[in-house]
Amino acid sequence: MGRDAVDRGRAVERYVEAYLVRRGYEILARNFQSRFGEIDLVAEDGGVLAFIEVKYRGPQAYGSALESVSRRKRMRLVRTGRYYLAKTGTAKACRFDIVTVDNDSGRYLLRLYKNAFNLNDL
Amino acid sequence: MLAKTYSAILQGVEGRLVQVEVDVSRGLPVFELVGLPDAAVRESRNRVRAAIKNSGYQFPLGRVTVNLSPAGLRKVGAGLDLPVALGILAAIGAFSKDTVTRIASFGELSLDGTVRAVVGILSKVEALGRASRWKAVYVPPANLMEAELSAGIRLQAATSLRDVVDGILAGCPASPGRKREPTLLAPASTGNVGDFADIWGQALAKRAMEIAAAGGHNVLLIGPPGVGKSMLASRMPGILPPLNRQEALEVTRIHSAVGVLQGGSPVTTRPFRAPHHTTTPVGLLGGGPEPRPGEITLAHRGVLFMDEFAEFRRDVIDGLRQPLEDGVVVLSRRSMSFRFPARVMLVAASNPCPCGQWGFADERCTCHAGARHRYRQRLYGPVTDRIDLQVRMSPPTAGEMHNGAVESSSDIRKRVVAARLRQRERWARQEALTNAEVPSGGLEAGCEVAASTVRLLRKLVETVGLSARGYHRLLRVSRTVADLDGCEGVEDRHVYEALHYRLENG
Repeated sequence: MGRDAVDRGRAVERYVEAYLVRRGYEILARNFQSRFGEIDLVAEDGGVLAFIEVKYRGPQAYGSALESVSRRKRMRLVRTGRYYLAKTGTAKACRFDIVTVDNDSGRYLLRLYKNAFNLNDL
Repeated sequence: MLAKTYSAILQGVEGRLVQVEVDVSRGLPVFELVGLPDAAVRESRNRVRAAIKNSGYQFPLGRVTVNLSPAGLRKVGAGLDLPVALGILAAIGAFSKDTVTRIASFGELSLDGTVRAVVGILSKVEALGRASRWKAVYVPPANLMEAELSAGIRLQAATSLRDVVDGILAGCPASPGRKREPTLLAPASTGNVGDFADIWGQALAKRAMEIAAAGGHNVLLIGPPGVGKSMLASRMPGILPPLNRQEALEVTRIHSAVGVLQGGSPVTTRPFRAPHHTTTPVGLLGGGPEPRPGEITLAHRGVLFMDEFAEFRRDVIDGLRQPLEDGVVVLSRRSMSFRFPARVMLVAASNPCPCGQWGFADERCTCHAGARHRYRQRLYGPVTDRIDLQVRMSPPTAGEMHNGAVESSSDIRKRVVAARLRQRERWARQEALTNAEVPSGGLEAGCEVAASTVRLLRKLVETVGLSARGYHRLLRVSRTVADLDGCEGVEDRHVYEALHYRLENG
């Protein structure tokens, strides 16, 4: 992944963050890292803790962005999420949201999937 | 956020009460189901999640733990979907937790929340115990008729998850438009099995069937192909006394548990089961890792017909010995044993030899002497030894073929019912219902054999060379013939008739 790609990724995450704030999310952490992986955004939405994965797909991508969150990626998110709960001592109901960003000929197309998967889907 | 509700599962053909505990707590989203669930129960997680969502409720975020207790009991089947869903909804406060602990429910959920039928509802509802403990008992609409046979418990039809929740919120009113009277079992008919009047000739075999029905004896029919062995056997339920309420409930429980109940309505006619001769011991007697009843249990209180008896596997036939004596199949597994009722009347039919002609049209028999010998050896074993009535059937003559006046099944049944009544009174102290069930010990004393007939029997033992068992069989059959005759004592003519129903082997 080149520098450009990383920059574009960060740009997209900021764009998504602004969108979520407009939807009433309160952002608690960005790019939260553990030795298992990274969670793009941690936010609170109506008393529920949401771990948010932002998935950007270029115009030539094959398949939907949602499909590209693999089982392995989900495992990483869950482990990191568990670590977040332990580290911050949070005791709330949690869910995993996925925001897909598709590049529709230059325009960003955002889709928010609340509670996109749970631990049974691993 | 803990909620408890109740349901029941099947263990063999019996119901067991199950407590469904649901805990919803904070944490990562996961839905766990513990308490020895089988695959169908574990998959209920997916059905329950979708059904809750599609019924317009929110599936809880965070950790959902469902415990099915007693934990040591294996939970099989999909019937726990509804109680699990209700427990979850109660745990998230959709309705009062105190209410849901006084509710029992049954049903498989479809993804849209519709409640589907379950197997064995009668046994399950009976496992709930005292009616006063329950505020409401929800059963799938398709199971309602069967469930209502269990007297005293107030039942509600559960059409859909939404419907049940609305009902609970409204204080569990009785479902509208249904009478709450216990369902009466339909008056017993001879069933749609055909009538004895359909069979031409075969007077001796018909009489043997009548005696067998009257005394609860097993029958062996031997004859060439096409002579009417199967026709006779399949008409046997029609001449047996109608099922009484208790028996009908027993049969309904079994058929429901196995899932062979016709249209969800109770069984009112005696079962007739005819397993194929390639069947295995498990198929006939029941078994498997999660023991299921076999054909002999499905034939409980009815007729088990084994056509081509000599072609059945040796282990299958030998396995019949104990159930035929005890009327029950006992299967032991690691942690428990299962009892499957198996009080049947066995009707065995066989050709006399592999081609079927030997003894009737010897010149047409194409079998080697050796083949005939092996066939006979398979036919006459320890089980045939326990068959009280053995009859040879010959093809009807042209004269018999269109012989007008033949008796209908219901005429024969009247005599059978009368003869059974006499037996029940006579053997009340032995706790037997029929002559066939009386233990050999008390048989001689209870049979009321006339003094002159005792002498006849003694003479027969010497001249015919009857074994002790053969003697008892003869006595039993004679007693039944006398009962059909309406006689208090067994007389010479009854013994002479009984002598017809034994073959050279015994």
